[in-house]
Amino acid sequence: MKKYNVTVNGTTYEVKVETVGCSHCAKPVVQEITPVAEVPKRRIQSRQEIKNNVQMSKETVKAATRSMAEEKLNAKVEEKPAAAPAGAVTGKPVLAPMPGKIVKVVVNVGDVVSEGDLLLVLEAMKMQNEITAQTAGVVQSINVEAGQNVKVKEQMLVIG
Amino acid sequence: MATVKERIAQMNAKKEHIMQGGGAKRIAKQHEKGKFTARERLDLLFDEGTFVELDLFVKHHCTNFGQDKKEIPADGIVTGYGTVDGRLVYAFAEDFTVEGGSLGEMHAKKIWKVQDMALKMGAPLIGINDSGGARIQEGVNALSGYGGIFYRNTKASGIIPQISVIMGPCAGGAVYSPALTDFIYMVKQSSHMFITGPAVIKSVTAEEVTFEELGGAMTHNIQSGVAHFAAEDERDCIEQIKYLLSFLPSNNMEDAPFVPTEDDPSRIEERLNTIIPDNPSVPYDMKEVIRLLVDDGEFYESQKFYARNIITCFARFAGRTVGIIANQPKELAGCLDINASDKAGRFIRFCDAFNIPLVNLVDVPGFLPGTNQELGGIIRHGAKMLYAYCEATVPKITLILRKAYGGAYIAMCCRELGADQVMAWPTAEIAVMGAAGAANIIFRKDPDKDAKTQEYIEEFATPYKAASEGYVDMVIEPSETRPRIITALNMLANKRKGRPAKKHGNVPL
Repeated sequence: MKKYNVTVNGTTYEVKVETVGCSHCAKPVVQEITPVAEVPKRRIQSRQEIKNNVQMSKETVKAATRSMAEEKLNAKVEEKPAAAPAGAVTGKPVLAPMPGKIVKVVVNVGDVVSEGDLLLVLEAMKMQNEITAQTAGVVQSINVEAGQNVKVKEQMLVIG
Repeated sequence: MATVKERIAQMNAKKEHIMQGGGAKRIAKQHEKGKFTARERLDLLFDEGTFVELDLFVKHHCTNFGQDKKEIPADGIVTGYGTVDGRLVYAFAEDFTVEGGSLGEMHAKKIWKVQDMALKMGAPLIGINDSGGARIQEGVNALSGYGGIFYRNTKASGIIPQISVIMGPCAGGAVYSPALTDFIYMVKQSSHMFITGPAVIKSVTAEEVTFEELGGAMTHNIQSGVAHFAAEDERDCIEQIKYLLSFLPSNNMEDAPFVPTEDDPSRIEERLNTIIPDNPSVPYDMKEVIRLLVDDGEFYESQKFYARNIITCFARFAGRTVGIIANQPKELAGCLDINASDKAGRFIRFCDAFNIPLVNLVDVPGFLPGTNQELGGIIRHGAKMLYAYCEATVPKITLILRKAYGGAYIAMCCRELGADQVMAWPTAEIAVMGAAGAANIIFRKDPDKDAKTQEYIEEFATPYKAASEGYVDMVIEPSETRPRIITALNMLANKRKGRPAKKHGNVPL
């Protein structure tokens, strides 16, 4: 089996291609398509930059992430990769840290969230655990609803 | 024969030549990457003008592959001693500008020398790693070098604090010296640690992974737990090391330095009376509790990003260092799990080795249930924490803030594990298991189950059952916790506890 990275309209997909049958009459079969998360470019920040970042007020950070996220959303709407299979999602899944019951889901699909925002409350070990966003972005899908039980590492929602 | 004056000039010229390391071009390249040179790093670390360099003139004697014609200034490493905040500290710093900081026989022997001296003199050792790995031309001699370093790391473990700093690549065998030391610092973006790099991994397992994902500072701080501290840049890193040293004694025969404070030891903190939510299933931030208790609200967390369901940090009470182990209800409900047990176990053993009293803040609903925990060996990992607490002879103070259930109550240093003082807030719930679960067993067939469950909660989800048996020494008002802890620490200052003589115990690794 071979792995290829295919970029369609700026979104990178990891494509695994398997050879079936004899080697010369082989017909490539697309086996699995999973989007590859974007890897942030390596960059060293200067001390001043770090200081500036810290000083940036929370509002500006929120506004910036919001506009960035909206841009991303618009871009996606405009140029949805034609070759992308239905159901494929780009973004970071939020996984259940432990088995439990969803008490409430605070966000809706399409909401813009920034890092640290409350997403949902998961009751486990008799504790109302607040699950917060680890990354900023747009809530792309929600796979759980209040009252539902989740297993550990189950995907609860996706932020992209 | 040269005159004395000429000889002195010759010596100065030689020194100056060696001090240039890999030359201006390589130094510029190092700076481009946001990295300092080995000597610049040591200058930042030591009090101004106190660094004394050893073995400047050491030369390698490898003749393989034309190495005999190669000059390697100071053999790619700067070693020596000086003072940090006025206290003696030994250090070595690998010089990446010279042969990529590669480790050859003499390079290793320079490290051995400062390791031996630090141990003999009872002073902390700081190793700054920035090396491409073994100097391949020197073959098995380079491996011997690593072996000798590991042996000395282990010999000095528990006698002097050993701190490893990763400020560049640290790959293959080289990673094990840091791993054997007490604390590892990593600098974001510029430091990487791994046994086999991305290229080898790709050729063997076809997995594709970047340097940063595989061995970057945050990978080791968040996921693997290999590193204890992350720094924004090298300057920040060295500042953090000095801060850590301020909490530690120089060796296992000393007490940690006393740092005078303006913070009143008998300070009553009203905010602690309202920090526990009325609803026991609502989380709160344990770090806020720590901030309100310790001197000047100051504490320094080890492994801040790893297993965040338990907090391990250094802080001071009335000027004296303590190690705090605290459950964090905000993360994983504050449960104990495999990673939390490993993290706490190691921290406890460090504190015990260096005479740092332990303060345990307990709010733990239990061990985290789940197949991945059981199959991952929570039994043997949890045992490390129990072992560490039982073995520790330093003063141990346990404060139960809220939940303390079942095995986790024991694991958080209950009386029988050797806690010298056990205090509880009125909000404490100390019981063998949660009320609902217990009632389900005890009153299973009782038609009056609900009422009896409520009775059980009122009777058992309190500190008073444990206090009536003497397992809890005192139930205190949260606001008076700081003076209570300080009084207990003063009372325990001369604690003496012997253990039966043995070669060493068999900690469940």
